[in-house]
Amino acid sequence: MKRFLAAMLLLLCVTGCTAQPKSYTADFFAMDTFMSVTAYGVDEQTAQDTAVTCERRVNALEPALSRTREDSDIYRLNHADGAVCEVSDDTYAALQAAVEYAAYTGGAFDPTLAPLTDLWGINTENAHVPAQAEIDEALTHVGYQNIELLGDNQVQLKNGAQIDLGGIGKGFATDAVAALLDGSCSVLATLGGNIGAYGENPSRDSGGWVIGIADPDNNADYLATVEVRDRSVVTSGDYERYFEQDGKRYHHIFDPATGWPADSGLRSVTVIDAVSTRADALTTALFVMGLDKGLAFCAEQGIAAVFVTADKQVYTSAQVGEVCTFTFLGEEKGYTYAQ
Amino acid sequence: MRSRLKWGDFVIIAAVLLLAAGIAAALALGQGGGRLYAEVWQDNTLVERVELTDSTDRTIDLDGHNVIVLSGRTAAMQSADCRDQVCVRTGTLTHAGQVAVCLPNRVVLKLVGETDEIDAIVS
Repeated sequence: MKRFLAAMLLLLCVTGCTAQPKSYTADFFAMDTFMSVTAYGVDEQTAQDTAVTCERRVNALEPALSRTREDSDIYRLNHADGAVCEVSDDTYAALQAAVEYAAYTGGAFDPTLAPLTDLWGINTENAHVPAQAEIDEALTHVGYQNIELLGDNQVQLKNGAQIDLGGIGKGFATDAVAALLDGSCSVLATLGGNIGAYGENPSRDSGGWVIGIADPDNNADYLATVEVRDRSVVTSGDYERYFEQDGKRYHHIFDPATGWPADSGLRSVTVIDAVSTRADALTTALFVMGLDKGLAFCAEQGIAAVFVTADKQVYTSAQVGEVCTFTFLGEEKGYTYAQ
Repeated sequence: MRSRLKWGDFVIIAAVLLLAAGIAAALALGQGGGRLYAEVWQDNTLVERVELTDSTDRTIDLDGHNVIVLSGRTAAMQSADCRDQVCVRTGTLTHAGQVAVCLPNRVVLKLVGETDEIDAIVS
């Protein structure tokens, strides 16, 4: 009997080591994109509770950040004809972040591009290259300086400015998810082009999360990976939302200085940062800046970014090695790791 | 007191270790190690889950709105009647963690199973 008990105890010890946390995935559509939040917890109920709480938080942000929903703060603000509007805490915080990052990037990221995206009709049946005179007119309303944050959730838009928080909305949602976590679960959140990887990944010995950076020519596949923990990884590229006219491709990342899609010789920019809203704004800004200015800005500001150029070169800023493990895998796909 | 462990003890220890290895292997298989599945979701409902093997050859037609082709251990949104064609442009999915999404039709094609290479793709 003693022997039997000892054997059972040994069995328990050996198999106990293989016990894995339970996971639960919440898949949902929000903010005009597909989202997926996987939580890993000690039991399925804990994992499910966490994933569902994250989903609810993201859904609750939609009326705060959407430009198209008529019940949203941004819709109201854009249709207020310059009058002062009171907005929710979430909307005000998102606007503060948008203005902060616009100033930080010297306007390369700008949250007031709505008149331009409307004019070009990207992602609508009406997508077309507008007349230069129309672009020039739209540009007179563009500029983050037209957003007046008056305190106490009061906002005023000047000069006919129209806000579109599409450039940071998913980053803001990713940060909102991160803020909910209390350490009881690990979470991998994929909110459109924004990924947040928090806590220890139970599927890997290293505890890190391996994120593939999409190949712009075949974005189901990846040309490099970054292994991260408690970080957000965000990509902006020219390959998902675009239209073609007269054999030329026009994508959705606009240069606020010209009113045209940024023609900077880049296919995509990926930023790895603890703050997803910041990473979101930076991917757009660095894409607009182009490779040389972008790399210089990263060096100056300590930003971890991966650039993929139109001539299939992959560049990483010096900070990439400090915040993640970068692995280049694009050789067979015709890419060269230039740095 | 020269030898505390008897021959029988070793047999039990060996049996326990074998049993433990068996349980670990079963757990690993249960988590999908090596196996790959294509899942098709429509409006947040799972409509198809198919294991992909080297001999898989199947077309899933969602009332003509989206046509999905499963071929070997790959899956692709072959056509869609939506405006933006983002799902078709996504290309062929070959690894677990990859997703092709048709937002206008609320259709999601995803590969699940192996998690050894990547946890997600950022695009």
